[in-house]
Amino acid sequence: MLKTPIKIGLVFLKREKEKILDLLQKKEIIHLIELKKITTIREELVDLQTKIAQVKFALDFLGQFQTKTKKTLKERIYQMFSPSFIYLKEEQLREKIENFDFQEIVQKCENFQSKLTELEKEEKELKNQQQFYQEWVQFPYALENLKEIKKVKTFCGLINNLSEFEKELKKKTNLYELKIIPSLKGQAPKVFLLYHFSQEKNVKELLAKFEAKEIKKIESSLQIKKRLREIEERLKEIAREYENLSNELKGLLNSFDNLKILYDYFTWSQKKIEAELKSLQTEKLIFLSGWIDGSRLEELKSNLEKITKYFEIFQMQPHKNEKIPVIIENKRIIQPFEMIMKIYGAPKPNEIDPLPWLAPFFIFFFGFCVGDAGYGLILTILSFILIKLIKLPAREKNLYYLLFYGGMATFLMGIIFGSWFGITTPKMQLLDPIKNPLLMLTLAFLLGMIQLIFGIFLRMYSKIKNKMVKEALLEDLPWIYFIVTILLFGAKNFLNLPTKIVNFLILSGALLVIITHSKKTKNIILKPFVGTISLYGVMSYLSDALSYSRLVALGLSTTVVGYVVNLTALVIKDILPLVGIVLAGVVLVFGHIFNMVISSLGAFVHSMRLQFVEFLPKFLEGGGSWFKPFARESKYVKFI
Amino acid sequence: MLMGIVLVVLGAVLAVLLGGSGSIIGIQRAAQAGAALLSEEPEKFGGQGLVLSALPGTQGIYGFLVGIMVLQKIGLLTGAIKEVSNGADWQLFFACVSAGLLFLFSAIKQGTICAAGVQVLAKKPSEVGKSIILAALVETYAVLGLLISVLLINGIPVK
Repeated sequence: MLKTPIKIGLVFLKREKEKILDLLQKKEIIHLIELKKITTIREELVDLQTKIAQVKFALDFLGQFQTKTKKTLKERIYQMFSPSFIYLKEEQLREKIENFDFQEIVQKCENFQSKLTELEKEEKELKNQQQFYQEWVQFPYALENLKEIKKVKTFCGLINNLSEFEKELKKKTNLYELKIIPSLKGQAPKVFLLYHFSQEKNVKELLAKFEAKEIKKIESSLQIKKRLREIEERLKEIAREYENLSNELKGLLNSFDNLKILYDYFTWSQKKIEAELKSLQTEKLIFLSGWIDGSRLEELKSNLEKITKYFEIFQMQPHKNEKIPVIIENKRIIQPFEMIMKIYGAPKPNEIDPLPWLAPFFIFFFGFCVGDAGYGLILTILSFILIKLIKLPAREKNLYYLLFYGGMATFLMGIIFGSWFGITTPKMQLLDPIKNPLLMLTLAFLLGMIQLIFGIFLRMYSKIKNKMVKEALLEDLPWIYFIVTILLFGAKNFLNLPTKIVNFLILSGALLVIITHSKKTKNIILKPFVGTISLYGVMSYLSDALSYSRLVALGLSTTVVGYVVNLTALVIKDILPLVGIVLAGVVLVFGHIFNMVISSLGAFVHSMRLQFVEFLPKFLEGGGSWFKPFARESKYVKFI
Repeated sequence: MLMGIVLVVLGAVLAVLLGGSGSIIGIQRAAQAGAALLSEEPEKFGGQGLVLSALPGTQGIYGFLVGIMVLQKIGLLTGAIKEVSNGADWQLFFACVSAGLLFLFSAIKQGTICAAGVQVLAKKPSEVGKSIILAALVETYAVLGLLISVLLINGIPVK
């Protein structure tokens, strides 16, 4: 049922804004109207935003470690199907927030982060040095003996293309000694070169030509060993520091949940300030305006009376072109389908609620598309378990409820088609889709026609509800008559109807449509043309109905893929002894899971499309907006 | 007779190949956009991102289906190979190729729409359901291709 909310005004004292806004937000009862754009920058707001950013930083930072902690299989499965919320009782909120110094945690996180990056940087640096020195350890001579003397010069460094270098050096002189320092893999070899001072110019030119890179000379072998020891010690120290940090991290992770709660709390506070900024104010008073479900107005009044006596609520008339939000409210059994409406968008307030009419079609089509009793059974059981297992408010488990209904429909259709996990048993089949594809197509076409005609009836109903009785009778009724006569025409051989009567009926239908639709224009000469052109509309109904043939194709694809899975398993079983049976089992399980998931996905999407593209536009214009109460929208916290 | 079988097998292979290639390209496009979203805002990806990435995959399955149905029809799966001649070979071949081509194009184009859908998911997650429907609009024609192909394969007489 669609409900149109009433518009109210609420005036209260500015000094009581805290508790009144808090109450409104908790009750989730009023859809606020923006009375003025937020232009002023409020210090409070800026302050809150900073706090939110700080908490978010801490959350993000700790979050990267959070995921690394081990989880049990049960927790993991649970997380796959439901967002992990923190469940709180109303009174717990205060205590969680009041005794929690988030600034300290944020500060600690910042320190932690800078310490961590520092350590990581130092470790990397040290490891590089370590590698460098380790190479020098393997140098065969004592380094302190290799000091430059008057007649001997040295070079130490990297030379590309060493063999070529040595060849050219030999051409110029043989007054040199070249030692290669064994290098760790992946790096160019380092060389130590001694040469006679007379060759300095030649050697330097050659070095330049080969783009040699000189490295700082090491003083002595002893120094290297000492330095290596130092590095090792420091690395050990760093490892210890890491250990300390990870202990500290455990402490920080304890406040992870508190941070989440605080994040939500700050967001709510921000929303409250924004609500206030959108209202009109005098020096002492605040005026809010919003939409409220008429039946809950008394509830709001009595709740306000409990906390203050200085307030005034009054009903207001909406402006002429004001967009009124719609409230959608249905019995528990149809509620899950709200999810589909949320995807489609809101109807206008004066339209009818399509949910009760859409629900049976959607579920039936879903069952038709999957059409396997085995899959239906599994879907029903799985979704039932999920519904029972996951502790979310019912409204947030809509998808699982839909799958639950869909599973049952699938089961029923599977029995009709006699298909169990891709195995068809001809004896138990009421209808064989593979042998009778034409019958199936006709069936799908008829199903489509039924839904479309039903859609036109709903359009009539909607028009009558809006006091457009004449339009409903003159525009829509002739169409229904005409379409039925066309269907009769198509089935005349099957039903053994006399051709003359059918021809008469169909002509009368066409004439009726032409006459009634010619009223659309006042121009006498154009009237017959406008009427005749409107006949073309029949094409859109026919093509819409043809669109339902997808039901057959999707149903076929489930059956055949299931059959192929079974066939593959059989072949594998026969090819390999023993191992084959195990492999066949694996193929069966995963193959059928795959088929079930893909078929359900296709069935869901295409069943939804049939509603959105073929059915709903027959009687809905759409383009409304949903009733969105001023509420505590939370990312992490749920109240129980 | 031999030539007939070759033609039919070629048809089956083409159906699988065309459908599969289309799906590969389609999924690649959608999944690439999905991966970009995953790297920026992983929490938005959710089930819908997966659905968008998986949607262009159905054409590959349809192609596979057509292939299997044809092989079944001429008895290649059971070993009792039937005689395919008198034009039935060409008929089956066309039944496969028409569907295969439809699968190829629809999967690629659907992939583009799904990739756009991922953008919607990134910018306006509340509206992503509609973009899934948009992708399903394209799939209609693959479904119709499958249907006609299945009807043809069923109807073409083979001894």
